Amino acid sequence: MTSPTAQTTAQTAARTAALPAPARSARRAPRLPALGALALAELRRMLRNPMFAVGTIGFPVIFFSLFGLGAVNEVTDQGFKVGPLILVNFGAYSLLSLAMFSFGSAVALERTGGWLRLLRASPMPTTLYFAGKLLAALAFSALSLGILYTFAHFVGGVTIPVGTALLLLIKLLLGMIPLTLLGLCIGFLVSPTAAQITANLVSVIMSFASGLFTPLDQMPAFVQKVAPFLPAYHLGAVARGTVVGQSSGEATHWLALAAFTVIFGALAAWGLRRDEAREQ
Amino acid sequence: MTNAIELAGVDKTFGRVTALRGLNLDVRAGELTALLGPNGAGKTTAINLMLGLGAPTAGQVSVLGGNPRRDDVRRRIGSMPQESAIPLALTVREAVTLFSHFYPAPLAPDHALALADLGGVAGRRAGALSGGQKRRLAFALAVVGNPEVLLIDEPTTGMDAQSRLAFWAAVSELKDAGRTILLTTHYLEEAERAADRVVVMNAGAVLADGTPEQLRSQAGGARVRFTSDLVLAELQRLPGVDTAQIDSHGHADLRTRTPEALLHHLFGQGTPFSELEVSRASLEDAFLVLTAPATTLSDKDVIA
Repeated sequence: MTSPTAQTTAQTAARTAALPAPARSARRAPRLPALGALALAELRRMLRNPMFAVGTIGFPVIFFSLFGLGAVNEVTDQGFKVGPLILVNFGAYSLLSLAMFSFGSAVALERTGGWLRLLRASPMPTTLYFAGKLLAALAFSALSLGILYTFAHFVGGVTIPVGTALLLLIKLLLGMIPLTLLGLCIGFLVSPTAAQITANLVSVIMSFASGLFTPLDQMPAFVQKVAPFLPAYHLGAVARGTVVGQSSGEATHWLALAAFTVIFGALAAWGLRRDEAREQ
Repeated sequence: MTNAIELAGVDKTFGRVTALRGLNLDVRAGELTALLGPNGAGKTTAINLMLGLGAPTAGQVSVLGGNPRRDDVRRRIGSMPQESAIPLALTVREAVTLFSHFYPAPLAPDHALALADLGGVAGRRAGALSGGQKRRLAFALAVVGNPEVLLIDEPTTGMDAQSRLAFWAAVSELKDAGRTILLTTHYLEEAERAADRVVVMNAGAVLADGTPEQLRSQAGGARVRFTSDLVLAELQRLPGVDTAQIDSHGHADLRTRTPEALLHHLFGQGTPFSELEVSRASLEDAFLVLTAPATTLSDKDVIA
């Protein structure tokens, strides 16, 4: 980019006249447009990074077609069709990996790159940054789940009634909150390079150990013992229960998800404060 | 003139490390103040306190008459940090528009882009900008809120000549519009040219404070260099010499506030000499004298 000196000078002259006096009003900037702008910026970041879309939309679709498509028409011992069960499992996996990447590796980068610090020095409360990130993650998740369902429906012939599908969407997004907080823990407690790897490992290993890729009863006994201590296990259980219309035991899973929300939330808040103290 | 920023008796410690030690610093409203000092002098820590990113361990920090940790004060402050803190996935215009939403009465994003001379790359992704353009984007983010006080940390590091020119043009425009600007820099000739006032920090406290001219004169008004047969004792006896140095080849390096009288005497006594060079002490000379380790200051009387 080159701009001749004459042009620069002309611009300077034009600018001087236009610079308005600073506002001394007591009012603050409206929060809602700021939140919308932050969420939009976050969505743009997600959509423009091809690897992000591959990880959160591509992999669930690929895994579903590799491991799920062959079995969609089978029936479980309890008489449920396998197709929708596999579909919601990969849906939960998609949310888990989105939470790990969007709140894990991305936050680690924004924290160490100074962006978070600049936002902190602005008059906007930091909570707005996290709220915008959460909104964008939920919107992107809905998109990702929609694409996965469309693929399963047209390629695999999997159908979930509209009412059930909407209920499922709401429950999945609600159950994603502890996962985003776990992502934040990674973002605040791990270096950016390590966060990328950690996000990968956590999303794949936790998906296996939670029975999202393979039914738990086909896994080794110790994995079955560990699974209840993983948030994705409870999210998967809620989703599978909803899709087959069995809500018994769902409350327990929600309780577990709420407990994870408290634990990860406290840990993430500690990480945030530690980060603030270091920057001062 | 009123003070836009007041730091009174400020201490800041991180664990066992003391970054600021009884720092007293007033920044007058409407002035461009350059904060200089060697690395580790505490400049960035002081700016972080003015931004309200941290609280002082002891003492008072006040910006525009209030605590910068409060949002109503923060919305009148613009910050350009040392690292290029920009969202790499957004375009230049998107980033500036996003930031404008955080302030109650921001500039039009295009106005901020014009100030930073970024109009030509408004549609480009921040991640694809050159180093100098990234710094100017950080500047655009700092000014888009139309702040009364601008805190700028190492603005021109990594800027090419063109970016530097655009940056200083914008800064002088903001100053003409009555804004208060505090900046740190390693480029002393820039500070010398643009600053109303220079504050030199070292080891967490203010070492010197004055106009560029005042600091220059503290360093000894001029530097006179020549080659002759005179020995050190003879050089020191010359009229008006503050300090004298000589190397084994007879290159003399003198500091004096009265170079004319010195040269007059030199000509008068008929000493043969060559390679005469007379230069006014620069801010850099002043800075080096001020921040030099105490042991080499033994023969100096320049510290006010």
